[in-house]
Amino acid sequence: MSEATIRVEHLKKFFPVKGKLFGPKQYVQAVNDVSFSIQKGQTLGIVGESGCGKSTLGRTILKIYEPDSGKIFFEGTDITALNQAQMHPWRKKMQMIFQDPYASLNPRFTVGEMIEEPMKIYQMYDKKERAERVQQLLALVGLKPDHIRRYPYEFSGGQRQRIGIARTLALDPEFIVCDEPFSALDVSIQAQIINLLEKIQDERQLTYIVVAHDLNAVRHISHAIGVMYLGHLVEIGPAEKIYREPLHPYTKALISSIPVADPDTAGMMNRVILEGEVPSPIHVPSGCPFSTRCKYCTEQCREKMPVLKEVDDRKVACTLYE
Amino acid sequence: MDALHKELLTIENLKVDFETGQGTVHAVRDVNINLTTREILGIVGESGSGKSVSMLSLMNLLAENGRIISGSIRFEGRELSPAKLQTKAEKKAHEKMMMDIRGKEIGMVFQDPMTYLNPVLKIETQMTEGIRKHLHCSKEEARNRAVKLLKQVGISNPEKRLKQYPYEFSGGMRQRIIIATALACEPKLLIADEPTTALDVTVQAQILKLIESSVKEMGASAIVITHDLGVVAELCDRIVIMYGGEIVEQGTVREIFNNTRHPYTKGLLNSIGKVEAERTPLRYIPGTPPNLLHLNSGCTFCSRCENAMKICKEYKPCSTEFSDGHSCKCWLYCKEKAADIVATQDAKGGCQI
Amino acid sequence: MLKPEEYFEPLNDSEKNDEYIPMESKSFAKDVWERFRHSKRAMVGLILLTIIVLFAVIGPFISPYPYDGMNTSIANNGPSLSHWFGTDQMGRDEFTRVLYGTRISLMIGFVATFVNVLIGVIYGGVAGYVGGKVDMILMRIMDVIYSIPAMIYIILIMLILGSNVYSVMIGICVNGWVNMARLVRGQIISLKEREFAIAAYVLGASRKRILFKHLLVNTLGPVIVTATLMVPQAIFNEAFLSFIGIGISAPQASLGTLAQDAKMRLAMYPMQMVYPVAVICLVIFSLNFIGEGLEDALNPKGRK
Repeated sequence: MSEATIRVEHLKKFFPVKGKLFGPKQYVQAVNDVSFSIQKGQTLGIVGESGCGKSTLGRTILKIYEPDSGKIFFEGTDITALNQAQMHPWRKKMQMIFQDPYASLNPRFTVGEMIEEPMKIYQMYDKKERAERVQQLLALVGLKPDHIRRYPYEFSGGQRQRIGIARTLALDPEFIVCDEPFSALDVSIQAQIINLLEKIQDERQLTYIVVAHDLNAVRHISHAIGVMYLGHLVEIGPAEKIYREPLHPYTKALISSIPVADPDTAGMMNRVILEGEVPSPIHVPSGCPFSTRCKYCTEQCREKMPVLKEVDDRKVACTLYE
Repeated sequence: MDALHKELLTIENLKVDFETGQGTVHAVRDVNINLTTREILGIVGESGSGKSVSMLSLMNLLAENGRIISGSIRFEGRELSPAKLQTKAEKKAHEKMMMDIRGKEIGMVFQDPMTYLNPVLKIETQMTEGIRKHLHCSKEEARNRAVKLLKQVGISNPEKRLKQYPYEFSGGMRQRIIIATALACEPKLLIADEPTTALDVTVQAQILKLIESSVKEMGASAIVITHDLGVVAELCDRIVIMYGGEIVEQGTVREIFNNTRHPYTKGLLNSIGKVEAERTPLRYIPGTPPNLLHLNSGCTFCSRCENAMKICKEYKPCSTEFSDGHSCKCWLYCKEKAADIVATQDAKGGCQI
Repeated sequence: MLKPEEYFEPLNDSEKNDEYIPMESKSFAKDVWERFRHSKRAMVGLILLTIIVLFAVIGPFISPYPYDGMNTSIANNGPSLSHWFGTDQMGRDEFTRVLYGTRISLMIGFVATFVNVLIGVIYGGVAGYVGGKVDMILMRIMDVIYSIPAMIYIILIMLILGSNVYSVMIGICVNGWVNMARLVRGQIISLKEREFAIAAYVLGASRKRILFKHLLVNTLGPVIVTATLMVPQAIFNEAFLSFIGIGISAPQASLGTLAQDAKMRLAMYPMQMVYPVAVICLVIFSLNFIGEGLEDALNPKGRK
């Protein structure tokens, strides 16, 4: 197998929280011992509920947050220890698309300035070529040439997301983390953006990590799916496998709780409804983090965190499959 | 209509305008909704489709710059729309009636459980306030009722929980508390505005079940506003699809899903759910939602519609009835009446919004 | 007009007229100006201030009398055709002196505000953006500066540099920027967590670029409003200092000095007091009106 575009080994990111003045120091265990790799041109979807650390994982891989331990390899190079200045040449290849198209565009920039900015930062091309590139990018994401002098507030959510995508593509990245790229958009617009991202991926052999809580939206775009729960990766494997026959009890519950837009099958669904809610990521249960809500929970689960194990061409972290 | 299903709420020709700095926004136009007792109705639409605005106007809770221009809202025979009120005394009496109806006969559940509860008041204060006001009972009785309600919505140890503040509860718990509060006075109608949008998927299923079972238990009706067709498919009996401030299609859940008529509804159903294994491009609705400040005189969906015809841009289609209360506003289904419709709309000087 | 036989012909893509976007795209400044223009009070303030500034700048040049030309034979005259506001006890033309005083007062107001904004924005911006220990140290330095009353600085500076316009200006600037720095710091702290700042970071922008190109432009609104309200504050401070006798001294004149001069003869010649005080009032009113108007124009949703 060739070198993976992105390889992550035992990545860990804890955020200190302000606790009591004299108590032991407490941490939000946002990402805990996560390992995976993605091949060129593939998409890994990361799903999970709020607070499971999926967004932090994406941002840590891009070194927006400094990882506490573990390693990040980009095309075989260890980028874990690089600082912002050393990251500069790598940043060009590793980009991000944001959740909220209203917040991720600087309201005081015109569309043209915004798309041109990354090329200015990297001193790519001369002024005339940059202007041409901006037009090409606008056309690529389906916006009109005369939009360059307009300000973000004049656009709808879907159009803004397109502007964000054009800005990201200005640097010709090879790897893009998409952080909840659909969740702020209307249903009828989501499909447009999914198609656009897929089209660009096929044309440019891009590698994606798509972070999402909407399991429906992420299903179509992903080749592989990783399921996170309280900072841990509990199951990872080919997307269709995960959706058709989930193995981990949490994945089962997650997949079965997707509302089905079909009244004929909705009533007959054999739904796994979970009791309770996700515990706080500050007080992660000992052993398997899911043990407090899992109906198969045993003594062993409460004591030891099961490791990711290869089962049926995917990996699952559950004592049931050990 | 049988004995079990009586008329509860009738909205007729509702029109709501908002005055903004850039002009008048016709947020809701020509909305007609019927709701019977023991029925769960889903209102589906994108942001800006007017789904929340129509429900807020039903409760007379529009923002300051919003106004009901015309139309009637009848709830058990009483007129809730202030559009026709003239004198000050009438307005005062109407506001007093609304105060009694809000919270007592119509309960409301909002989208964001994080902002809806007042962070500096105990749960007990927030829950018993409405109970005491509407049911005229003592503090003690109100508290007992609150305890019972919390138990009913699945919150363990309710006596202790009542003494806590909102920040001590998770999102799902708060939404349960809000549902309990909305149900406190046994309303005849529960309006839930995007009740699960701010919640996680695994919690969403719990909350939907809870809404369904509580409403059925009390024999009440419910209106669920959502953008998620999956939610309505499971919960609702009937669906209203809104687009750009108008109802484009309504009917029973089965009719809407199995005999979809309007191109917008078809597009919505296509763009979600039915995912094939291969990576074929998803079918989608092109374009962007309409700008309510600049509407064309014809069908609002025309600029994004794959079946758009020349007449769609100029004239508004009329509503066509299919079976079983299934109706749809689209030129595809009222071609034969075109001459009449065009004549009346021309007489009115184009389309009056 | 559509013909009946055309009704059901399909509409092609260009006819669908998709994605309405207004014809004209407004830049931030233009948008603000448009809203500002619609506020009557703000426009009255702006016109008034423009007139006062014009008078103060041009007036002393076209006036036939020098501001310090004494002529005791016409001391304490009332208003007349040759001396519009009359003369003071030294026989100096009161109108010329008020114009000259307005000029000095306005200059102090604007220059002090400019310096305060410059220091405050950079100091607050750096403290807020860098954060951590740097922020801690910068903020504590600021606390120390702020904890000593302005009066003490001004008296100390006067002792060293003498009582003139410059020492008053420096005195006002020593701690006048602190509030601006606090404001900017708070704004920057919330802005730097916004997604567009993270987006700029991911795009490889340096910290300097993020702070100056992305974050500070977004604090422009509140900074402009606060700055507009800082000008009358500085003018008032100067007037107060001169009035109690530790500001600018004769024959130089500011509005405060003029009022102080008139104080002694208030019972006999009250008009000498009225002129400078009226100008101070007008300047402060107009600037406050402009400030209010700007605030509304910059936060269109704030008040409606």
